[in-house]
Amino acid sequence: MNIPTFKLSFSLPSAPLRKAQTFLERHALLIITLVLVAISIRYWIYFYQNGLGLAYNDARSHLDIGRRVVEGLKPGLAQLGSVWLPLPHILMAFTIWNDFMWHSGLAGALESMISFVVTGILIYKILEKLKVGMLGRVFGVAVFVLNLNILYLQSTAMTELLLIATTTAGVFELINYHEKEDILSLIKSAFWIMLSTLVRYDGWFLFLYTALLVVIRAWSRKGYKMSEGVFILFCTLGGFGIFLWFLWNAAIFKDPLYFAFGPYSAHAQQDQLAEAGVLLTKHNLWISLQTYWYAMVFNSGMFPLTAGMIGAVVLWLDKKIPLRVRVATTALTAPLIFNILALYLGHSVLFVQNINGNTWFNVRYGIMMIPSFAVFAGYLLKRLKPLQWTIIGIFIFVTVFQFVSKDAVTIDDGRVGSSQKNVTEVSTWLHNNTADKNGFILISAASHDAIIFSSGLPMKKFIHEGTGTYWLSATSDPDRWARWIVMRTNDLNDQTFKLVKKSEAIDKYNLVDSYPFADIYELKPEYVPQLQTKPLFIDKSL
Amino acid sequence: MIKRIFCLIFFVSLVLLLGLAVKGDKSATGTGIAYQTGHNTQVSGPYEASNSTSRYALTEALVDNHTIFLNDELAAFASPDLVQFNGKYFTIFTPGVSVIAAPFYALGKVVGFPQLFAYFTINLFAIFNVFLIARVAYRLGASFYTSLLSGFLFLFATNALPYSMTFTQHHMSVTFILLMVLNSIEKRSFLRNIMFGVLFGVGILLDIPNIFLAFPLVIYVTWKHFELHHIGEKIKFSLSLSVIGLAIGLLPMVALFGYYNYLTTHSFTMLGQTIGRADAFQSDLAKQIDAAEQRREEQQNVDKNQKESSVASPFSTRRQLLGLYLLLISDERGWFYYSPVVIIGLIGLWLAFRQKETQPLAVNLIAIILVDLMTYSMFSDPWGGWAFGPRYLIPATAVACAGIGKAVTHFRRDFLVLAAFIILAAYSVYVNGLGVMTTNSIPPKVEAESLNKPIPFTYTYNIGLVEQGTSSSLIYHLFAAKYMNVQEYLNFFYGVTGVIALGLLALIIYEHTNV
Repeated sequence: MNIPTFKLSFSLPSAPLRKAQTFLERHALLIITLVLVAISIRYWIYFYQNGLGLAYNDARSHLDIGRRVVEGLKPGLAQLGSVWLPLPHILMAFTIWNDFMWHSGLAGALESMISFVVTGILIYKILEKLKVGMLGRVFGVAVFVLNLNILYLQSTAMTELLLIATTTAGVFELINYHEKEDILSLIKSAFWIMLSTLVRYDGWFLFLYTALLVVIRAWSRKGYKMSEGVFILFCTLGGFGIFLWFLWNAAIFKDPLYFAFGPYSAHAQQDQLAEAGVLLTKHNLWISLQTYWYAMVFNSGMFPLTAGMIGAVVLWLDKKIPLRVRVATTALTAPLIFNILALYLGHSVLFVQNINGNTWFNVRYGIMMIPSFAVFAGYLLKRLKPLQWTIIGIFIFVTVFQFVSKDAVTIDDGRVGSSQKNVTEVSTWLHNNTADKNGFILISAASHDAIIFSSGLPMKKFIHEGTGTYWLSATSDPDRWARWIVMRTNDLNDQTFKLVKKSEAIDKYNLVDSYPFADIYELKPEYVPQLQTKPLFIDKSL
Repeated sequence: MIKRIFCLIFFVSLVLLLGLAVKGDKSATGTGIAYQTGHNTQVSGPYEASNSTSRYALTEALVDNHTIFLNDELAAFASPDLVQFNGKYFTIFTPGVSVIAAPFYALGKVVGFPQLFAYFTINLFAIFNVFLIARVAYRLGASFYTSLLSGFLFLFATNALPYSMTFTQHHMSVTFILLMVLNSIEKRSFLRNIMFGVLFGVGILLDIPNIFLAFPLVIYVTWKHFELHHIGEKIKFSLSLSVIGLAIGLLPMVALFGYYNYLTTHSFTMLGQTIGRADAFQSDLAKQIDAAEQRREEQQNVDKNQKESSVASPFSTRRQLLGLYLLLISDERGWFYYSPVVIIGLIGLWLAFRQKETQPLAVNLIAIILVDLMTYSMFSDPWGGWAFGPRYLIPATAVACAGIGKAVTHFRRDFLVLAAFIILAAYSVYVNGLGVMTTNSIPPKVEAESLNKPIPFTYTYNIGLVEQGTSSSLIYHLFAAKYMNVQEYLNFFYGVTGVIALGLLALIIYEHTNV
């Protein structure tokens, strides 16, 4: 039976369509930027409203560090501290003076949000450089953006997105340099990598790795003399942040390596974990590999990770791309090498379920490879053109399920893993019982920054390690300075307890409440009249 | 003509070979065949798993009681794959398999073999799949004999074999997906679109995830109706209205499904599965299994809080790492562990993908495999309960096997590759022969180890059963047991399978040497 086929047809003049196409291509970056901004704001509001934006203990600490720079008993740059690198807190300082910006977490999230948008743009630009078509570029951006872990962390005051943005910018300029060999790109690359070295120690490894790539490139093209010059140029700017950090530690803590070996350093923490026998990755390459593999899978998702890995191999084997550019793109794998090395050497701790029992800790480190996978997946789309709609379709398919099942390991890490700290009870007590009374609260910021943040009290209400003379006075004579003491009784890791214990003034306090994370002591009424309740010391520090 | 005669001989060989593995046993009293009158759910029988009994119970209810609801006896038989709603019991599965098999069951009742006839439906679909795969392989560029070899190895070298003896959806799903594949590569016409819509609709009635598996084909077929032409300074967009045929074919099936849902759950859109299993008739063993499953979930570490915050969905991307490991390489359910011959098929698909003429078909087939893998790697139970091999990957297996012909044709002069192929095929036949001759009910590792009396969780369980002299074969019990033990019967089965496979291979080499 022959049934005639009817067609619904219409014609459009091609000129306006071509114009529209040209417009879209010309303004693609602007459109993508606007979309990313909208997504970024929408998700910040979402996580602000459901309270998850401040779930991470570290997010609250970062915000407190930023706040202490501008407000407190002893505000100033010295409050930037020694353990965490300073750039995120310096950037926060511009907005964190505002109480809403502080307590909503927006002061910290803002830099993550900007970094999110910038990274999306950079992924687009890198793929453009690799001559990937519009669809592949947009797909690469989508792999990065349509990831709940990325969307969550961009809504928090954590440092991952800032690190991702600065490292991706550094690698982008490095690719530019390898392609065009212009010194300006090299300087730009060094600048961004310098910034990344001031965000997290991952940046330090990237600096070393990229310096090596730069030397190899210069040497292979122009010999030793030239490579020496290029190396010095690159390292002078790229390593400037590291130099400043050494200098800072020497100036403030009288030890340039204080950040590495001080009492609050990661090294000290890892030593404790190693002693407790839970640092399984230390000197065990297989478990280190396995741990980071799991972290990457849980953060990226199995499909984007697989597409990214295949894309990387396809890219590195593609002889149509100059070898020097392919070599430069290996810098995208720096986070992978760094994290495995850090775990193996015992400088980093990462717990994932199935390896470390039933808990999460720092699993967000696995997020660092997502921009790389996004770039490689975008490239894969270019090379597997006949399969591109299949790849896109399956990506949409799994992404829909990621969003439907709200699968974000970083949220679990922040909510129920070891990275969370529910201090609501103790901070609520402080808020309800100290806000309208005179007197300071003695507390260790190193141990209880989350309590300080969650109490909603002004920073100047607290005497902590960063308050210099106040801290020294209050820990030696607590009853003269502190109306309340918050500490973990009998825990020598809590600096307040460690020092107050020696003063024997604790008898002058009543234990008013006891919580899982801290006990609250209040000065007995008969000692209150002698108490100092106003700031006394003139700040002469930085 | 010779090829037609050969096809006929091949068909008869398939029927006979498959017949050797049909499940059944004499009754304890020695009269008749026990499984056709009673509901004996012992291991290695046709009723050993509830994914068969639950569907079979619906067939019985349809034919015997003229209802879709199960009485207490049938409900107990279907348990735990049973739903209780508004005081009525019905199967947790979609009704497709049971409805298609109903006429065969009714015919079987007339001659006194209802179970055999009902299960024979699946055998028929399995044999039909062999030829469908051969057809797809041929369209991928394989030669005549290699195409048949592709289909043959699907049925005898993968876990499609043990599942051809169960009353489950797998073979029927494969049939409808392959028919859609073949339909999709043809030029679009109104009638062809209606047929595609019907096939898709029936696929949904067979198993809900077929929506996902067939979705790449649906998009591909729909897309083919759009055209874009540059005519001078204008661009002409055309949509062939024959696309409506897809909806016309699909709608009656959807309506039928909606009506079935309405009868069972009082809602056109609510599926029985969403209500959950009824535990009214759970045996002690089933309760033990449930407890073990719960332990397995705990060990899977699907985070409690994540669970609470999630929309009720059986699919989660968090499970994909474990899911892919289990489905691809594990000794519990790994695709490459149970049927490594599919590797050759995947190579064949890649070769077809590289050729312009076969690329669109290869893309669709690769898409089906990827969707199948992604879907079930996210599924809460990638094991498929107590099963043999990755039963959820049977559609992907069928599609991958279609590539075997292409690969063998391509490497026909490369004896190293051919040797590797023969080794992989022989191993695959060996493993899946064990399954079909004994049992499909192999527990996941954590459940096997949690049982009061732990049992193996790989096909070593089947090896153990063979060594104990346990066989599920009706022919063996009725006739062969007098002359040989189970191992010898299995060897005979391997021998015949090997002769057919090697015969086809010899014909391939002969065919090409002559060319």
